[in-house]
Amino acid sequence: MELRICHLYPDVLNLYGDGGNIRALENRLRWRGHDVTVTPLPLGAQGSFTDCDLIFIGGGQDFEQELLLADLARGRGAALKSAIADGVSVLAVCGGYQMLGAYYQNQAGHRCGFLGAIDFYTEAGDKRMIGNFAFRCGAESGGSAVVGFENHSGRTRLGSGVSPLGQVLAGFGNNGADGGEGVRFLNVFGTYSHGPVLPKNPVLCDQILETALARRYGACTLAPLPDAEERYARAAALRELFPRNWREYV
Amino acid sequence: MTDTLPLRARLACGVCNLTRRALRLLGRGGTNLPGQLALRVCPTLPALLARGVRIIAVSGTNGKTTACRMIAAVLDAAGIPYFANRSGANLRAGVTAELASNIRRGRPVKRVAVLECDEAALRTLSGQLKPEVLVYTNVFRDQLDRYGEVTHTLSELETAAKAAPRATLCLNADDSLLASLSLSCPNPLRFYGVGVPVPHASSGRSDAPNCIRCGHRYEYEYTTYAHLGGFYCPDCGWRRPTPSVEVTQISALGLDGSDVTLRIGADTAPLRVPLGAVYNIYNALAAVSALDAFGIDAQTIRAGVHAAPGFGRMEHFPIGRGVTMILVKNPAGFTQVLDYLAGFGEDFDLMCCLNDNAQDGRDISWIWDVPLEKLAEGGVRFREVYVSGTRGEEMLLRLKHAGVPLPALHLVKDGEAFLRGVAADARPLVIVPTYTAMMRLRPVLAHRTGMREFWE
Repeated sequence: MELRICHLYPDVLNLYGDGGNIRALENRLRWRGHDVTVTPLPLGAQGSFTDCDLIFIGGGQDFEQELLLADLARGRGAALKSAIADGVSVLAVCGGYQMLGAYYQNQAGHRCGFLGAIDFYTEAGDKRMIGNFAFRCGAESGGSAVVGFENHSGRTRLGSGVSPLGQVLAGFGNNGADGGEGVRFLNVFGTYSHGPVLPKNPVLCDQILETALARRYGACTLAPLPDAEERYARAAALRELFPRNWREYV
Repeated sequence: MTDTLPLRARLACGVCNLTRRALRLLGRGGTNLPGQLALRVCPTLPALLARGVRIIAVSGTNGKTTACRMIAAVLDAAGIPYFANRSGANLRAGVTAELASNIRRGRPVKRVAVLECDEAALRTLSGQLKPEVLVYTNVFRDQLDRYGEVTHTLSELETAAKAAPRATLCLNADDSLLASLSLSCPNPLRFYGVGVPVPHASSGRSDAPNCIRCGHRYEYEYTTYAHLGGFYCPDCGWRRPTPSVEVTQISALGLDGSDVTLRIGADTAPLRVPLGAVYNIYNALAAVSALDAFGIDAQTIRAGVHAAPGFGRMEHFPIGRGVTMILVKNPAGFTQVLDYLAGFGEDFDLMCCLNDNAQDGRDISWIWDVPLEKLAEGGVRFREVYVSGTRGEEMLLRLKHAGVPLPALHLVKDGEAFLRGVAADARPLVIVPTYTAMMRLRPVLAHRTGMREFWE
């Protein structure tokens, strides 16, 4: 089998090692003998999503947002929306995740319109939510405990018909209040988790790959990998959050 | 001029020095116990011990140790006897213990001290120590995850300066936070800074985006790194003060050092900063500014800074067929290290030590921004790769994804024990630690090679 991955805006959405997610997606296919291509789609570049199975959108810095919105407005946004509606798999992290919602409202009350592909919005908060954190994915997203690092001041609130990616076990998640973290909508996986999130959360990584493979090849289950190093890295992160009972989350 | 110490203080010093010696005999340095005991016996001890000693106190978020070492190097070069606190012992107890160890027969032996002080400790110490020069390096949310501490740190530094109003206050002019202390502190002032933009440096203004006086967003004529640079407020006019000690040109920025043009007052000349990276240019500036305020002449300062030993960033130890330690803090630095490794002319072993303590940065995701794939692309002559540290497992996973063959990858639980065991005929070893990992590993290497500890 073969998967075509598109890395959207690698030139501006490149903060906090999120490119590690591309490595995890690529390598976990290659290690199983599948083929994979990764196509970067930087700001202003020509290209569409019609030939891709999986889109990755990372996090970035606030001040580059305007550039990005201008590019989305030139047709890229509409294409991304229809790809999402078509069931293309998407992993969106932090700023990339917020971008899929309706808007971002800053502290002065000014609203910046976003893609509106999924029913949620984000408002600036005064206190930044930073630190190692963990959440438990819903069953439809694999059900594993995911451990990562969050670093955001935006509070995201999901619409009533939209499910979070998981429930917070430790840390803040979407807004530090309702216990939800990220979003799961069709084959879109949105999360605040840096870390990067996929390398040491292989169950989630494989879940995303399987949704993308299923869309192209029909239902499939990826062969298991040894994942010893993945387990070590998970354990090290989990031990910091749950010194006593980290084993419950491995 | 200096009276001998009152009996109680002499007793406290005795207790302090005896416990310190006893602990060292037991092989346990760097503890706070001796100072704590001494302060229990005599709470006003720091003030009594500081009498008759000219003190340069160094504080700020980053670079305290390096700035102290550079000041010390210049004092060495100038032949001025001084004492200094060992790196790490920069809290109240540690500083007190250092002062106590300078006492013989109730009088201070050396009359000059270079004291690195933690920001919070300085708040209570500075009124007692009455330093002659107070130099502040910078105020950072040095890691993204330490957000929110910055105004707190700033107010502690402000309190400390106000408690010693006669101390000459040396401030980083490029740091809008630190420079703002000049608006509120009554001290005599000196500023230091970099007057030119730094090529390829990562600037991020998120630490201090808005004017500390009026809240308007700062504009910058140029930036050097992080939020440092030629800031000004278009609204209220608050701007970077004019420095008396300034880097006016940067000719080369390297892994092992930088070539700059340095102006001290009216005296301008080239200078080699013997440590790489922009932040070490700032550390050198802090040291130069302090020494200038202390009355050392420009010629002596230049010669001394130039001769300061490199430390940590790249240091060689004669163990086995050579152990090299290179400190890494960020992707840019680590990428330079990879270039160095690519040029290594013989087989070597590599040890990567990743800690996620506050000083390293709690967020370790940056290692995924390092192009470690270069290691596995061929041509790099590494044989075995060892990983250790509080998050060594993450480094293990990173190297696995980079394509380092699994049989060559080893997770080491105890990095210090590993280094104690490096055999005499071992392959050359390159150690790449983050900051707090280096602080733990270096003493092992120093001990094995009979090198002196930081301040011994």
